[in-house]
Amino acid sequence: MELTDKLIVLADAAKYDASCASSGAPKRSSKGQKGLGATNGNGICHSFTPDGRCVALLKILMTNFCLYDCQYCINRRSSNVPRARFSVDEIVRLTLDFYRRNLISGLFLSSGIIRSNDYTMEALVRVARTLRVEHQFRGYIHLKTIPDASPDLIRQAGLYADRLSVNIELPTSQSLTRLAPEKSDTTIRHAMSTIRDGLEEATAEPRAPRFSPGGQSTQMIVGADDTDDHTILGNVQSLYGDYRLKRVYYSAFSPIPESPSSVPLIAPPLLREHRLYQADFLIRGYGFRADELLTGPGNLSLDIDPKLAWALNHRELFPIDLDRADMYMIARVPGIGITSARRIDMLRRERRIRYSDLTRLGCSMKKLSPFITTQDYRPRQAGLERQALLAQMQTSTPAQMALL
Amino acid sequence: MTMYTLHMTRADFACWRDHARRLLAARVPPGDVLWQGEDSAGDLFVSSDTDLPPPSETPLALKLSRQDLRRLECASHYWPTPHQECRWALLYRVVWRLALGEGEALLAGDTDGAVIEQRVKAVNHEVHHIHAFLRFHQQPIKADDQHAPEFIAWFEPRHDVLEAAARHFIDRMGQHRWLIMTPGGAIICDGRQWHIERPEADIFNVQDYQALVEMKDDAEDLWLAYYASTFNPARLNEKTMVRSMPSRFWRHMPERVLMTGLISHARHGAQQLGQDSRLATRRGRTITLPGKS
Ligand code: SF4
Repeated sequence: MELTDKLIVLADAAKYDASCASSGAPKRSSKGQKGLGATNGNGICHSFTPDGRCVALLKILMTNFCLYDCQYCINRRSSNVPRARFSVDEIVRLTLDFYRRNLISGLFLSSGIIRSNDYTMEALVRVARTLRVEHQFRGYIHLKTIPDASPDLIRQAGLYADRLSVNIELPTSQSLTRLAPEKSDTTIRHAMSTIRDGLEEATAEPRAPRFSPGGQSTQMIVGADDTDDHTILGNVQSLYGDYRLKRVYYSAFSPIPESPSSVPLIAPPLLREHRLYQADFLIRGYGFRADELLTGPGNLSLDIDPKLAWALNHRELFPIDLDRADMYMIARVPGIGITSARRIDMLRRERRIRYSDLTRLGCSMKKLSPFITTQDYRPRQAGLERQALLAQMQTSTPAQMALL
Repeated sequence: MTMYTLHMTRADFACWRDHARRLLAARVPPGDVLWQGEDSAGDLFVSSDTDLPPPSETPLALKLSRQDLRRLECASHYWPTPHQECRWALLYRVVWRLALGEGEALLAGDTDGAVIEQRVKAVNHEVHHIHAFLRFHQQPIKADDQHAPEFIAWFEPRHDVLEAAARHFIDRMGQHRWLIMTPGGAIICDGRQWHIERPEADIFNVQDYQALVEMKDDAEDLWLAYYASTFNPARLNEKTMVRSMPSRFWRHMPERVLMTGLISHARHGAQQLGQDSRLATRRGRTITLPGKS
């Protein structure tokens, strides 16, 4: 098979992985040196495809031959798709050629499982090692870890990769048993702990070997089973706590050709995925607890974002006075992000806050107006009930991000 | 009231800083200064600086943190449109206010601070754009040629981002020799050092670049194959693409030739699936577990 053909097959097979981040790596430079590539901690999106997704890395599978039969996956062994396998040199060549032209910032390599878990993992590590050692490649490398691979191979992967990830795949272990019979929640979590231990060792001991400095992440497919957002967010919150994850990526289930009857034929609304990302961000960045965002079983509202939904459910806490309120509460006001909250705090040390300051800070005025007071502003809506408030906001706000 | 005309002999921050220091020392308020430079609307017939009054008995001076200084310098890289305020006048008013003790002048909630913030943001954004969307084209080079650039690129930035780009690409490109051409100047790197060439009168244009690019670059075909295949037609979302990658950059990106085709194919319902349509029609292969036949 021609290289171009393989690339088409193996990029297609890899695109269901949502992550393409190239951030979080330590500072590296090739200035005046042999070799190629740099990282500086920031991610770069070199292009966007018409699905609105960022292209930061060469995201491919080493091979889409796979012995497993995960029902949601286009590469499962019972799927009738063209198959291909890259050689190490082919992956190296593509990575370096694309990198030099500034088309990508690195490689995201994953693979179907061939022969054995260790055999597959070993092959992935070999690609990373060849890039790093032989070609002195200093760009970004993300390796998808095979959960059942031996801890020793995972440690080797950590020597070369900037980020390691193990996919949790589905929100609950019951769903995993049903849809990915060869996988097990226990081994997935075991691999995550191996990576976490490696990360902790590397930070605790200055002389410990390098280990995946960009941390670990995972991906969860949403909408392939019927788990609700309440359960998802609860599980995600414990994942963050248990495994020092940098990120959980959510991937709305994408129907696949010749879909087995165990998975749905239609995709969940992309807006659901978007709301989960927003809720996830509130948990990671704003100190919200999962059970604050969804107090009982069910899904996040598709109409309004989770922060607004929370504030509308806690009318008793608002409006708050921006000259006096805690930073923590200011950041919880819909329409005010962390950065703006910090800026408000800086400004109020110089003088009292005026309503027009908020426009200049780029806050979303429509959202925040019922929830704050300043020396020259008091919300008219203070007495309005939740429903009326919502209706009023919605008539005046264009629909949230048309994703569909 | 005397108006003081000052010339920005070089349109750079260091030149402005010299002027600003002397103006503060002489306590010249911002309203009394006419800045002459490429983006100021001063009096074209005055050709030399007006003499400044002698330093005041109560001169103003200002100590800025390194961070604030960097912020001002960054804002100075912003190229205003004809209707926007001259960058040097804005910067001087801000330091004047700071020197008088108005600490808020640099904060984003302040009227001037907000403009500074908006300019800093725009400049950083443009730095990000050149890091992301610039494309190097590989040149055929004779093995014994030690000087010709191996990689060249053309980019049309909106603000002055050449230095930031130079530092970024020298980190990435190792010992490769490369050249980035823009209408206002070029970055030339010989694999160890870089320098910026800013022609006085003659500016570069895209034809100069096109004349340099002689041969097709093979890797571009591979890139096109990748781009089309990594796209998921079941998630078509053109708006986000255009918002994240403004169309003014497309002209020099190889993937521009694919976009319309991919979009219309996905939109006209050829598929609800994520799979690349080039694969849907090909013969596939299921896998039998070893030992089970
Ligand atoms: S192991 Fe499962 S998810 Fe991974 S490629 Fe094979 S079938 Fe797909």
